[in-house]
Amino acid sequence: MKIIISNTRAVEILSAIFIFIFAYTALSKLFDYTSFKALLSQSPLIGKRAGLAAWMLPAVELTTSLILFLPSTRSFGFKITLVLMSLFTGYVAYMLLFEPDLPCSCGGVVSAMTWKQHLYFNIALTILSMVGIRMSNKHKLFIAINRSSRTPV
Amino acid sequence: MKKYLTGIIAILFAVGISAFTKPEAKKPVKEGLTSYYWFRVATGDGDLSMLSNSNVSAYMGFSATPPTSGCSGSGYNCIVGFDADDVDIPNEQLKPGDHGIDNSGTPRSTE
Repeated sequence: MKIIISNTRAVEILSAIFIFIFAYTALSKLFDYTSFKALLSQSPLIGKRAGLAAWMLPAVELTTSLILFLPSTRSFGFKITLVLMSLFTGYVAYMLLFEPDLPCSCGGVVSAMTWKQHLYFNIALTILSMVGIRMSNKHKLFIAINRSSRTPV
Repeated sequence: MKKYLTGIIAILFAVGISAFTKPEAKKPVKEGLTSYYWFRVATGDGDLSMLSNSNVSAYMGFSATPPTSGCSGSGYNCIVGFDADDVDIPNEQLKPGDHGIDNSGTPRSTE
């Protein structure tokens, strides 16, 4: 019983962290849409697709926040988070190696970080998303094992 | 409701903090200030006073104050402003040819 409560709480806290990060960065990008689009257009990986990327990125982040918000889809949300964070980390690594002079097109106070700091930050979040997947799967497994029990979980 | 509580708190924090950290370019324009079309100067061209499309890397918007965009320092052009005579507004780029900078905007420390 104790294990379920602490695991549940940990999963909720982890999902809240990612909900906050995705919602905050998405809203910051939308509040400064023109500058964000302009910065994206400078990136060699995005270039002319900046218009599409400028609205798609915040939309994906907000959708992921919503998926993480709902307990029934939280496990799937952590998987999407892992994919997103891996992509973002790869992008930051590329920019650090090949275009370190360009400013970051990230939203909010994250743009105040250097590329190196941003890379470490993203790696940490990627690891955290893996932890989230593992914990949310463990939680489901525990409930599944106890489903045959007559005692309420 | 309890299971949604942490998520709701996270969303409220995100909305509140993103509203408080909105960039300065979004502040109301003061009366009497002229608005410019802002462009980011391409790396290596920070010492030029006449710029063409090949010397600018991105259109940054139209406002009375230059948008903040990672530029800091002094000495070289980073974000510069042009008036409507120099800009092909629908395509968000400079008109063909060289154009004198109308507002030196935000400088940077490296070229």
